[in-house]
Amino acid sequence: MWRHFKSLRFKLASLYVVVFGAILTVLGIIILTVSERDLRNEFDFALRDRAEAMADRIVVSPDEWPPSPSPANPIPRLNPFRFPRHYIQIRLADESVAERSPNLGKQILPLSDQARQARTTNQPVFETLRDEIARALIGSDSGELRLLTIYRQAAHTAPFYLQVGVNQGRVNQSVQDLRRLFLLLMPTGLAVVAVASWWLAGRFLGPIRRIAELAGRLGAHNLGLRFDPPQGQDEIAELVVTINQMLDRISEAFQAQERFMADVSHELKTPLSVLLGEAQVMLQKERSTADYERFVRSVQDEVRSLAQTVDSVLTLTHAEAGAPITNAAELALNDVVMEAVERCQPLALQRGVRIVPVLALPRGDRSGPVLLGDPELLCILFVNLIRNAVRYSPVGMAVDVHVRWTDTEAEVSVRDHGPGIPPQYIDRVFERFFRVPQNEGQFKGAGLGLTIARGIARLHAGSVQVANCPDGGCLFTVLLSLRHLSPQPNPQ
Amino acid sequence: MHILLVEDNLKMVRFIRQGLEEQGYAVDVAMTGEDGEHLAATQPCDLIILDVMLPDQDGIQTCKNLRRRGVKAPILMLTALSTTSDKVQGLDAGADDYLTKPFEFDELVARVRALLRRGQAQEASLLKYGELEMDLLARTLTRAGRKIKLTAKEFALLECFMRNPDRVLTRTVIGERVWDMNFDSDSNVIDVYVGLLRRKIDRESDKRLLHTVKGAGYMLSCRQPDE
Repeated sequence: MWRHFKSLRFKLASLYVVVFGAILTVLGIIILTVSERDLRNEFDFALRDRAEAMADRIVVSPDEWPPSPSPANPIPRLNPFRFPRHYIQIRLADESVAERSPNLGKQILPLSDQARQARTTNQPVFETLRDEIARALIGSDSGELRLLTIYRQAAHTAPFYLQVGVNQGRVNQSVQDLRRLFLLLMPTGLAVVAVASWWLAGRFLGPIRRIAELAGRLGAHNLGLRFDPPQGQDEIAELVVTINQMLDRISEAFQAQERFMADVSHELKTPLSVLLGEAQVMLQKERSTADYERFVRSVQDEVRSLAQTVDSVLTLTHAEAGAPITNAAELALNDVVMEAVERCQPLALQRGVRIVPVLALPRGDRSGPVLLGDPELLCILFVNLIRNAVRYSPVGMAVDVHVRWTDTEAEVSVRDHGPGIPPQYIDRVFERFFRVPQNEGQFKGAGLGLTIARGIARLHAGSVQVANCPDGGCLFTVLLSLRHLSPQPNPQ
Repeated sequence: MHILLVEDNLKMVRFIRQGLEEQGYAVDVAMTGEDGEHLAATQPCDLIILDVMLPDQDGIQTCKNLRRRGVKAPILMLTALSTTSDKVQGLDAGADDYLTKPFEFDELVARVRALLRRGQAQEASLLKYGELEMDLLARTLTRAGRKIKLTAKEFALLECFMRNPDRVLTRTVIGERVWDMNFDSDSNVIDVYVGLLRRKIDRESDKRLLHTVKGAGYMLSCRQPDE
């Protein structure tokens, strides 16, 4: 039990970590990328801002200007610009270098094809230089120079290129820092998530673990065990309530079973003690042949009655088990009812009672009501009702057995013209071992006949009702569904 | 008549043997399945009473073995189990009849008699009338060669008509012969079953064979009732 549970907790926690981790990583990468881009844009923006500001204040008058003897060794001229970190260079329209800031030293900022587009498109061009020039200027192996080239054409000046270069190291450093932070936070965050989700999973699975423990302890000896009523209305609470209800039903079933055992014991042991007692008394001294004969007949009667009880109890167990109809077959209801009538005929003859069956007539194409069921059990159902009716019928009277049907339902009614059932007992006739008190002793039934009948009817998705008739006698009505009854799978 | 009893309960053996011997039968006893098979093969026996619960092997198995060895005597099985499937199992194994315990002794004797009689009587197994042909052993019916499926009661009803062709049978007679019952005039059992029988045998033919004779009863005939 524990192992399985543990793996569920583990699964939950690790699933959560994985999902969260994935989301976190993706989000982190997005944020990182966007931040990086923003940083660089910011940098470029500042650079451009400054460059434009500078360009605004530059005036180039080529007429006063002697051409530079050689681009390799230009002589820096007036340098009003005080931007030590910026490498500034001005080229004339013919691309010759006109001015350079001192910090450039001997270096010349190159004008690439891409940079020339500043002139053609009139848009500033950004480039990143990582070559010797960059390294020489910045003084480190990993030096990167961000070079901006703009081409200015204005009324008050000759056109010129202004190239400004800045060490990109700062930005690169920031980006690096961001990335490092990300790499540090991610695993830490994940670790925290892992711990938290493990704890959370444990908390929510806690009730399930308790249920498992309790279920393990539950047994026939402590059926009273129930879970504490849950707080809240979530799925766990529902589960607890449902399980408690199930335990109620199981407990109830156990108790019903115990009551049944007690009843059956009594019903079986009473005739047995009669037999034993009578036999022992018989043996106490010598008796006459007539006495012995009387005793033997009594034994025969008691044993027959016992056999009947045992049979009834077995049938009842079979009929009530909630269990599957193992012998389901398609049956013509008329045939089953007639079989029951025939079985009761000897008793009817003996008691001078007539059984009058009125069977179901064909409807359209169908020759009679057909249902799926156990032939033996259904026959017993009707036998029990008819036999009861015969027993309680006065001599010469009739027991009417009618079969009627519609497309979906069939009704079998058994009516006698006897004394009927006293109103105070009519609700109890289906109880196990119940016999109407004034008739007790008169009839040797076990008192299970009607219980069995009802059980069988229920097993076939039907019902048995009883009512006293206004003009005397009792009417039992059996309703059976003719819709297709599929045999349920065997619970074992 | 020799009866072989295969039963392991001593008291049952005692009263069955005593009861049957008093009825005039000779009774041999085997207390195990194996002994039973052995005795059946070596002693004369006209009937075997076989208990399903035996100490060494299942009664059903014993029954199968007996049949396999060629034992032809009728077999009556005794058992405490009474569901339809158990009965069918027994009959499938080769038994001829089945009695559940506890049984009325009279019933045992009656069935023994019936089984012994069965082995001796030679009954006509085929009934014919007009286009109808009934095989009493196979329980089948054909009309002009076409097979018609009948339930047990419908078969018994038609058999009654076939044994009394061209004769009016009153409801009383039919009730007694087929159901062993005297039906009230209010009861419609016979009308319903004759109706069912008609649906099956007369529907697909243009010639009606089952006729209603008003005020009297029913008749099976190739001719019309008033001819």
